[in-house]
Amino acid sequence: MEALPDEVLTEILGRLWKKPSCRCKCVSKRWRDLISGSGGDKPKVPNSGCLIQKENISPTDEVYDASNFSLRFFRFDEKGKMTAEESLDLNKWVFPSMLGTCDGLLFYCLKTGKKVQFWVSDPVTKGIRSSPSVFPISDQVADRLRLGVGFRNRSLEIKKGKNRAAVAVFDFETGEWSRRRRPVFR
Amino acid sequence: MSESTEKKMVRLRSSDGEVFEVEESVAKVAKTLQDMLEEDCADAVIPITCVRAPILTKVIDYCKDQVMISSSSSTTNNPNERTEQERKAWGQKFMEGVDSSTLCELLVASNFLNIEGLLNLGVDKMVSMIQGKYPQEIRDMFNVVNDFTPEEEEEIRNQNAWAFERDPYYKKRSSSK
Repeated sequence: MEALPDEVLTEILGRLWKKPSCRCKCVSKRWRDLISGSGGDKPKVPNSGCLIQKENISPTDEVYDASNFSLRFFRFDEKGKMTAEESLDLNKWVFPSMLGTCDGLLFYCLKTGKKVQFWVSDPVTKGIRSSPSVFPISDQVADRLRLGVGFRNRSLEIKKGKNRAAVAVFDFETGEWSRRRRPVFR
Repeated sequence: MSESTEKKMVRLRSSDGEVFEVEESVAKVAKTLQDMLEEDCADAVIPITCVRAPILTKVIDYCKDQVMISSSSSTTNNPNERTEQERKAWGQKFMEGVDSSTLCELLVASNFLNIEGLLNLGVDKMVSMIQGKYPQEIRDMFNVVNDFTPEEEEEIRNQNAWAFERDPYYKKRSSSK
């Protein structure tokens, strides 16, 4: 293992799912540095990829083949024409949870530690939209984060804070976060 | 490929001195060897200093198979052509029974010789071996030295506590093996 060049080990660690990848940080300093970076260096292992990345599903991985938990998603363009079909094989420890429905759309969320990713699917057209990337959330927020959906131009609302006075809104159309000052519950 | 042309042979020497004679087409599966052969040093025995004989045997097996597939792919009715599924099954079979130390050596060899397909197979196998394991199990399996102090390890563990939460599936799967 010591003889294994960094680039090969990086490739291996990069193909792991998020959870095993985090566990691997404990293995040794070399592994940790590759996964989370050392000093000011950026991590060598791609960080976002481990959660959901199609090419990470390995053909020889019996464990995940056997669990056979996958979601099929379809992408549609504006005219309703199917442009792509995507199947997501999910780490069996990280199920997406259903957030709720709004305006006939179904909202799913995958919250993994300090990362959140969203999907919205339209059961009528079977179209799906996913958030552009995995959102990192800070330590303090991670525990208290409450997720919900609301009707605001088909946006996804993120409510946080004890009294829910602070509301951060994630707009699905633009993929941007914004803050609402007005308390929702009085 | 006509039978009349004599097949050019290449000799490879493993780190422990064993010499293997293979067809040039087989050796050329390895990009590193292909580059060397194109620079025309085919007469000499090519030393492969970081690869032991049993590993080299395995590597050559892989290369031979690749040649068999590609040489027959030009014919119309191809008995050797594989579907995606067969390819996966073959890869799985090829990697079956490979233990962790052999796997490491195989990865080093395929990286050195620049054989992308074999490297991929190895990486996938490695990933499947690591996937469900805890750090100590991984260390034991691959002989990795734990260079953390217990405090340091505890700290990282705490930072990534969610990754160590008990998985309902973990126990079930490990006991079934």
